[in-house]
Amino acid sequence: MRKSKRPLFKNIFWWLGYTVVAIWMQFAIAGVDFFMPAVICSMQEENPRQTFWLITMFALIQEGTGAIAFGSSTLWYCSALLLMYYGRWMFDANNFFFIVLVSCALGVWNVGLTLLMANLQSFQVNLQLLVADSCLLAGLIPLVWLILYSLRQGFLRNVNAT
Amino acid sequence: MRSGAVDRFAANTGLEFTGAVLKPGKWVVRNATDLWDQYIYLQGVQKENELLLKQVKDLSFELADARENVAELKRLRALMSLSPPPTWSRVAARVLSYRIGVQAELDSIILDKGYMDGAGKNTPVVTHEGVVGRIVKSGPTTSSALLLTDLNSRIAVISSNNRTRGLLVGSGSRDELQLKYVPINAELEEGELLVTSGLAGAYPKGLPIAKIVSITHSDISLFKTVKAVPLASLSNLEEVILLQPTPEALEANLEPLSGETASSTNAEQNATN
Repeated sequence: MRKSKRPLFKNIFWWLGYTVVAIWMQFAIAGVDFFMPAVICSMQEENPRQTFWLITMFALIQEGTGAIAFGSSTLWYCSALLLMYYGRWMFDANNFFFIVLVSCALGVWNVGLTLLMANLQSFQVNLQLLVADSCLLAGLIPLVWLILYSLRQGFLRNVNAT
Repeated sequence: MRSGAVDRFAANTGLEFTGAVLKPGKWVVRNATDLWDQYIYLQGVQKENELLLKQVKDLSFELADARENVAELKRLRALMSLSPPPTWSRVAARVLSYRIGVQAELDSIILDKGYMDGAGKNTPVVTHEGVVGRIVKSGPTTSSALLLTDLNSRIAVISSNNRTRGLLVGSGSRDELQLKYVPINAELEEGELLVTSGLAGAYPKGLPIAKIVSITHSDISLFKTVKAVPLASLSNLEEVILLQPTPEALEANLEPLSGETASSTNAEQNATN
């Protein structure tokens, strides 16, 4: 028997819907990556194919809207993947405090990565703004993750039930 | 990656997708605001109308004077065998968003016009008040422009009265610019307007851009320390104008001065690469 593709399409539309909402949230709060909680959620679901496509889409959106040359978003999401992958060895990946730790590490890495890219691509960065953005990013990721995680769990229960 | 193909791919996909998401929402907000302003919130319209009629009368007199001046200028140019400045066509665009996402550490705006509407890379972005910046990344129907206040922005300017040249550099703050490489003995006044010099070819000559607010002298530097404020209100941009060179303007730009072009191109590359 052929397997129904309905859950797959539901899943695609769910993530597309979240992407649209995340773009509007990024419009409202500049300098924050609202896609990162989605990447974290996807990794927690242990679905590598979904994570790959999400990262590809998110990286293209971030690279397209950003004013600097291609590369930093790809590095940004790859480093988040590594952080989550190795972090899971030591902590429970679904624990809120683990996500707080990850977001703090990402906040610090955002400063480091942007300064690294600024040196490599020879452009100047407003350091004060960068630090403020990174603090906001570190503070918002766990909150958005908390909402997204509960929404996602509800969606997955619903899909599995049908 | 060095050819810029991946950048173009990101602009054609990611930037376009973001534009497609933001445009309908902005359209709804704009129409709701227009409906409120034009049909519901009519308080003070009578008073405003009287004020505008008075302004029209005053401006009519000024227009008559300006027409005389233009006619005189044409006559003088003809006498001196000078060619008129190259003409630039205008395209209006709406601002979809200010810097967006974690990658937007540069002070930029996203516009609802792309290369299909003629908003290619380096297209100057202005308002009726003054220069805003220039386009650094362009998708088919959406583009991203670097504001002149960004740390990576460099624009060749000339002062309107004393005709002193300099390089206008962004400071990272939306209300402060620095005029660099002005010799210590060059004449410059506080309150003087700075206009684009047009020599680098990126901007047409004579666009108002900033006003000088302070001039200080240092004992150890060969240059003055000049601060200026942008004329365009960059924090609440809604509509902007994109200037596109006509074929005559392009021809005129084929032979720009090497020094300014180098600095301008370098700055632009710094911003985009």
